[in-house]
Amino acid sequence: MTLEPIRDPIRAERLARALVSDLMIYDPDKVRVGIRRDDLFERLADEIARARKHFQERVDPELAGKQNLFDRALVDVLVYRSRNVPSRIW
Amino acid sequence: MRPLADQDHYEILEIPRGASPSAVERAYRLARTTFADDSLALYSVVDPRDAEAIRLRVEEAWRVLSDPEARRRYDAELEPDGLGERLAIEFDAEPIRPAASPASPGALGDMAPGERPSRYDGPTFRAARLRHSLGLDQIAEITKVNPRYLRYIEEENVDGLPARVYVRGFVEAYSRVVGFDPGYAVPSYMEIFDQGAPTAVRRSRFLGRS
Repeated sequence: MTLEPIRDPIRAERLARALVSDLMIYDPDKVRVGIRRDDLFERLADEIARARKHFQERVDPELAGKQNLFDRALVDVLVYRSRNVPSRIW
Repeated sequence: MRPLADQDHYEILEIPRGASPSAVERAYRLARTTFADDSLALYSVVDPRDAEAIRLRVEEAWRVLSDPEARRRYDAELEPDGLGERLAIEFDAEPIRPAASPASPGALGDMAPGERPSRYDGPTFRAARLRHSLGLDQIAEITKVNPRYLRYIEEENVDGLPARVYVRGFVEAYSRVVGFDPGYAVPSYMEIFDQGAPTAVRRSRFLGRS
């Protein structure tokens, strides 16, 4: 059976942040090098695509698209938590 | 002294960053003896739970610093004087491939709440966690288990995990957070763990023998 899609924005946001923070724990070196070289999103393209796909499969399509929850999580979690890594980004 | 959670592996073993392999080993053996279960030096001084937390950190420090490649990567993370940049670039040439994608839905992807999985393997734990919209860092915060170990549990990376007794505790704690009955989940996962490495190897790793 298929799970009910997530319609609660808070729960959807939590899922997005969980998926993105997992990227940092599973691939910390890749994230660090991506920040340093300012190619984070290219370097993690496959991992981000998989996480985004999972997010879109679990969250109500209207909600998923409307508030850019996943993209916001990418910035809030992935980029912000790496702010101590030296990079020309900052 | 900084809180235990903030100390790096060198601080845990009380050695300088450039310590030689033999110095690392000496410091590890000393720390292991000092914080042993039956250590008289600790009796009534350190809470048993604190002592266990220190022992885990000591084992983790030893696991990383005794492995030249793991130590190089770790040093790169610490980034002393820009050295980390060079080391990180070297490491980047050979990225680690996780055993499983962190974002795969996994075995529970289509399972209804209340159903019991037939097997509590790494992907099953990950899928249950994501069903609760929980990140590994949140599970770590709740269980006080190092997120790296939680990741190894999900990846079924037996080589990266500490001794059986600790893993059992980690899996039990993880099970409770995601709503699994530890009575089913722990034995099922430990079966996977036991198949992952011969007992003798795990015992010798735990005792710090090569």
